[in-house]
Amino acid sequence: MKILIIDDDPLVSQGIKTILEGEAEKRKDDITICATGSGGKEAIELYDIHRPDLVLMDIRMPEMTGIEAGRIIIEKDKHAKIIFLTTFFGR
Amino acid sequence: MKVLISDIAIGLALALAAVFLLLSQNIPVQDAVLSGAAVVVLIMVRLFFSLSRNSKIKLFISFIVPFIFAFFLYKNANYIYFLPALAYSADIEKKYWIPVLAAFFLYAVVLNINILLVFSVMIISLLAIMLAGSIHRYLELEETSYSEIDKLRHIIEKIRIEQKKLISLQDSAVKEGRDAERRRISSEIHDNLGHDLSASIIQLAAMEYRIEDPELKKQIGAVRDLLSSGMDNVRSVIHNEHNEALDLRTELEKQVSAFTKAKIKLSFDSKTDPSIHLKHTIINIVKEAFTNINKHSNADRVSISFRESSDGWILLIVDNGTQIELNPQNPGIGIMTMEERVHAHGGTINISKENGFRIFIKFPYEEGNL
Repeated sequence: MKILIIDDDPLVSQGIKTILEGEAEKRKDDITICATGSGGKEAIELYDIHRPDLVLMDIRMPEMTGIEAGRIIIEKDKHAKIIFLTTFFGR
Repeated sequence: MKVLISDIAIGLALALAAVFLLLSQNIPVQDAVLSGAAVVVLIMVRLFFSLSRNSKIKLFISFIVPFIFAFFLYKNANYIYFLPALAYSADIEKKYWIPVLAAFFLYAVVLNINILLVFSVMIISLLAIMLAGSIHRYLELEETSYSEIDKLRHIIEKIRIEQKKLISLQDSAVKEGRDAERRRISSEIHDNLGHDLSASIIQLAAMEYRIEDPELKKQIGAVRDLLSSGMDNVRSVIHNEHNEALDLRTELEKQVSAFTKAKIKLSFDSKTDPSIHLKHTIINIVKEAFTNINKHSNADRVSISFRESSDGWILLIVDNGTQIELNPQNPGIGIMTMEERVHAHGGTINISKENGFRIFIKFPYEEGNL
């Protein structure tokens, strides 16, 4: 399973990458992080390049929000699966 | 009115005095009383027309009275005793006094009336005229002072009302400012501290996968748990702040301005703040009503009223939709949850669809408001 991680804070995206990879190794799951990105536009580009099975994306990002990027990705590929991340309760 | 009464009283008194003088001159009782009555009628007519706003009629009467008097005088010189009564009520302007009295004097000389009698009657007439002037001025002054007092009272009342408005405006401005500050601080904490905390938690979790040393791993896990519970605390504080700063009116106005399908009239009149739970319930009910209108109704006008009654609050949502499906056996999920929410707060709900859709909800005061 290929996963794309998008967060404007590289510490967060790297952290999630490490956690997922560590957990996959422990469980012997077939999970690879194909790429990490830091913005909505990058998410769209990386999605086109890697065609991941799953996108983990932060909602609040400068320039383009995760929701906007997600909408564009789904327009291009209606089978795209995206999980949005947010650090707090939604408002 | 006071002016009129005093004029009638003094005019009558002077006419009565003239009648007595006539009787003392051995004039037949019938003649004296009749002439007195005629003078009283003249006085009344003049006073009646003095009420009219038509200045031409006033002027005409002012002129006709002396001529009638002159005619009577020509018939019998003794009627000169009526001069003070007529002069009092004549209301002749100051600048005409001297010409009128001079003309009268010449007329009396022509009629060969006793010159001493003419002088004494003229002096009494002058005094009567002056008396009339002073009484009028006094009463006018009294009236204006009364109306001035009334005006002042009115102004004081106005000032009091404005003051009240200002105070409540100030109160709401203070509350608004405080709420805005709360929201600002909450979102600041949310944006900065919240993000840093969650990034740190993720980092620590990631580190736990890379570190081999079990002791160190345990320590890092403990730090991560600590940060997580800190994060929970921050979250709950922000959540409370957010709720406390929730202004029902502003929130309803937000909902109304976001709804574009129909014209909405919102009226809000409540001084008591419902609890945060009730506020959320009310907002959700209004949202639900909007959803219903969007889905099932052709209404283009909606009126929402939230007001405080003697024992709670009344929420009334009325629209002018004509095509609505409302089945009492199967009211629909939206209406059912609405009813559940209202009942959870001990309220009552009444839905009718005569002349549009109408939702009437009554919430009793909560424990804190009693």
